[in-house]
Amino acid sequence: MNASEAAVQLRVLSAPEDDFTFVALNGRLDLEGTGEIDLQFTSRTVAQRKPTVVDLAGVVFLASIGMRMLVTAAKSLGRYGHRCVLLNPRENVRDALEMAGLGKILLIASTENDAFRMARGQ
Amino acid sequence: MPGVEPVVDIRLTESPRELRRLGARVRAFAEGHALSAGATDALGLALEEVVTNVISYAFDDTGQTRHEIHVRLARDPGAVTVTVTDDGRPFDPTAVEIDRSASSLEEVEPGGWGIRLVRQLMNDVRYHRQDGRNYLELVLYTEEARRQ
Repeated sequence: MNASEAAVQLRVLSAPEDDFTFVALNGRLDLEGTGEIDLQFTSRTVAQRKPTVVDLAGVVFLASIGMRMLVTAAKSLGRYGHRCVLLNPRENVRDALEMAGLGKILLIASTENDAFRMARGQ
Repeated sequence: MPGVEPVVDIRLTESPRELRRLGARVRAFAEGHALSAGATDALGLALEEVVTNVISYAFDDTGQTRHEIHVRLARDPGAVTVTVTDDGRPFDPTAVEIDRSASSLEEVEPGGWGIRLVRQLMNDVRYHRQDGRNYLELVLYTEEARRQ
């Protein structure tokens, strides 16, 4: 199995005492990968109820089922008054978001500084 | 191109795990025909969306009957044509109305993105129903066709 077929992984990069959530996703957010990670992703992001940055640099493939997971998390966090920012998606992932009409609906940043500034509403 | 099959047939069951196998076959087909990275990504994503829809929504019997999804990849001069057939309930993705009205996170509702992606990724999408099977044909023009 090569890297593009590897199982999806979630890494938590923030500490519990931080006033933000920072996670990184790696792998393929396709039907199988999203099914594997959805509950863990929700518990590590939405359930924390903090401004959130999701590093997508390691996501090599994003299907609509993965978009659904990201949008659902962003909407849920929004209901708690928090923003969710997607950090540094690859070109094919960003293109897919644009084609689905989500490029201007989701918050997307190219650098960590911008992502945290946007997540805090600055 | 010598040694490269112009037509590849792939038969899948309705298991989500089959999508990874399909993706690998699509990438191998694209590599064999020297398709661009953009064309390879477009084919892979469009097929993922189409077959995900079939696996998720086409069958009513929740695993009681074994179903087969047939994918045919065909390389013609200037285009790749993909045909997906299944024996699920009738569904014409070309007839689905896409809601483009949402302009904010509050307004957007999950759903319909897969079909929207397929229509945007492919140059032509055609559907017909015959003998109890859905036939969905996706056409992607390749670079040499666009230059003509």
